[in-house]
Amino acid sequence: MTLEPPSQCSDRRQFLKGSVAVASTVFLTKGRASESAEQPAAPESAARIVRNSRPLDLETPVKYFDEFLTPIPAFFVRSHFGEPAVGLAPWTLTVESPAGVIQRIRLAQLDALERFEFPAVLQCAGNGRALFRPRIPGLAWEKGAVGNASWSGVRLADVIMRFGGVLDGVKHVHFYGLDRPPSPKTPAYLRSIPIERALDTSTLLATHMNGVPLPVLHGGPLRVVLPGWTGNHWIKWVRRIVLSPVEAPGFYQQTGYKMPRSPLTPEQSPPPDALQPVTWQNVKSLIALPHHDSRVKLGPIAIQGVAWTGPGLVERIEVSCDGTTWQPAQWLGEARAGTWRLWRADWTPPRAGMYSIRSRATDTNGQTQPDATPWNKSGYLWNGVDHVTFEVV
Amino acid sequence: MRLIFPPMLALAVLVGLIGAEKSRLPATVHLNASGLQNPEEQRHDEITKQTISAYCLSCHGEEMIEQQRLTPAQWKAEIEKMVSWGAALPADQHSRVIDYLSRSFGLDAPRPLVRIVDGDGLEGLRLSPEKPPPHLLPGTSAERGADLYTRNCANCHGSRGEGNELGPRLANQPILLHPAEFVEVTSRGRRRMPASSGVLNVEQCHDILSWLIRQTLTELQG
Repeated sequence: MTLEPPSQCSDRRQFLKGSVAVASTVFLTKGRASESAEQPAAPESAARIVRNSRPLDLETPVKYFDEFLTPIPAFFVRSHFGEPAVGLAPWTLTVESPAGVIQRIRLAQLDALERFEFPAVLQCAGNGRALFRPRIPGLAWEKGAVGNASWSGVRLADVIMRFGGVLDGVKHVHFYGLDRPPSPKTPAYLRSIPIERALDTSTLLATHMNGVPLPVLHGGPLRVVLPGWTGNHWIKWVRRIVLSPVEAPGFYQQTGYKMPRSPLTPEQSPPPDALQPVTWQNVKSLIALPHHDSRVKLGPIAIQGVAWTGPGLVERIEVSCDGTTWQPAQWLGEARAGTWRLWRADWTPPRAGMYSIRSRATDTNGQTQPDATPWNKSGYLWNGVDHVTFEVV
Repeated sequence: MRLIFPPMLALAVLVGLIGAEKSRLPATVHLNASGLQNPEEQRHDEITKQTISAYCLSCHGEEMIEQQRLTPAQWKAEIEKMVSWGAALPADQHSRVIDYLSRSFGLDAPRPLVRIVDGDGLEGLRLSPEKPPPHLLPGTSAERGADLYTRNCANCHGSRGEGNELGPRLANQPILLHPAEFVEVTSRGRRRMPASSGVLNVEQCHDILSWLIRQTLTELQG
């Protein structure tokens, strides 16, 4: 196949080419001052919810979603098998064809490639699983298996072009990380993506997060960044990239992370061809303020949150404070593909009492958050309308 | 596979089983039984909790279990999946465990209690240190470590540190970057792993650690 080199314009690059036309976005390069390149005043520590202590799976409380970039100490943590022993030997990355290793690369060799930096939302495919009914087995994420960070690294397309040899017949790119399962009987974690997505200019191999070297907990020294797609694709501790005519074998690609093409009921068992891999995220919003189960003084209340989508851009954000009607909220900041947008609404409750407010986002593809996401047996892609309940005193 | 139990190790196993379980269960989180009044039933559940700790918590934390809310059929399916992935829960324990989990973490169980931690308030929240230990700790011998590992560890953790039915993988695990913690955990024991303090001294633990690091480097080249 013919590769087109990534387009190079002065400071503007088309961020995310998909099958849907997207508004061109400002493509941030390192060091450029802007609202979204500001690093948050990083707290020294942040409280996270333990969904699993081994391996660490930590959920971010939604109160931290009142800033554009989620601070690293608050950022959610997720892996199937926990971090490996990073640092015993210099990191190597191999690029392989089905015939064998083409190149074994040291990290310093990636310095020869141009670096890119931009914000993108990382969300676990199972975020919100605990909100589905009937209940679904798996990590009981509620709202906070998601965060927005500024990712910096090299384009996967450039790595493949520089080190990948001939691409005739290559249809898929496999990623393997350094992490290993606790038992030889447990399937290893891996991911396989189509070559078109691999070569998209937004697909990175990231070495930095929010301006600092990628922490080991978040996949350091090297991880995949795949804006708009769910977190299972963002392979951590990347060691091997395999160029292949076929998808990667193994449970986590062939069986795991699949959803039915159309919604099914819990009683139905779909045949394999009725399933497709989870790829794009869907439209979603979260309320960061006021906090659920909190008490606020009677008076004007600032309602704040975030909203984002998979393909396209978030376009409309609404809140409902009376359980019936919806009012538009105001966006803070521009729409940008692959990352989220802060929003705000001001409201004064009429009197003391218990209140429930909801938020609902709509994107440029006309997708709106439903009251409840259609059930799927793995609990992926929950994007029901968000709500918080609090008391006004 | 023939298990080798030198007399000292057998004593250490006994001591480990009595001592290690209580000390390792976190203070604030526990597998809770559902409103049983009968002391004999409570004792029955305590034994089941130890079974779960032995066969399930060697690979993952207890929160993964406690935060589920599943039907008996769903619990059965999860157990079967875990067994197929290496959990060595004996077949005659399945129904007991399924029963306990369904009662304690069924659809009607109250909302799970969760821990909220910050910073380093969690044993597993370790980042790689600035300087990993040298591949060979001073004064240690990976060759001596290989022999010590084979005789004391391999039966449970696999001949190459890859894990097996009895113990999890050790090669390539972050604890290898923390020699002091490695020595402490092996000395005191953990869950079904007996305390090695009556059998191995600190230098021997370091020898084993050096071998495990060498084994990890061998894996990295593969």
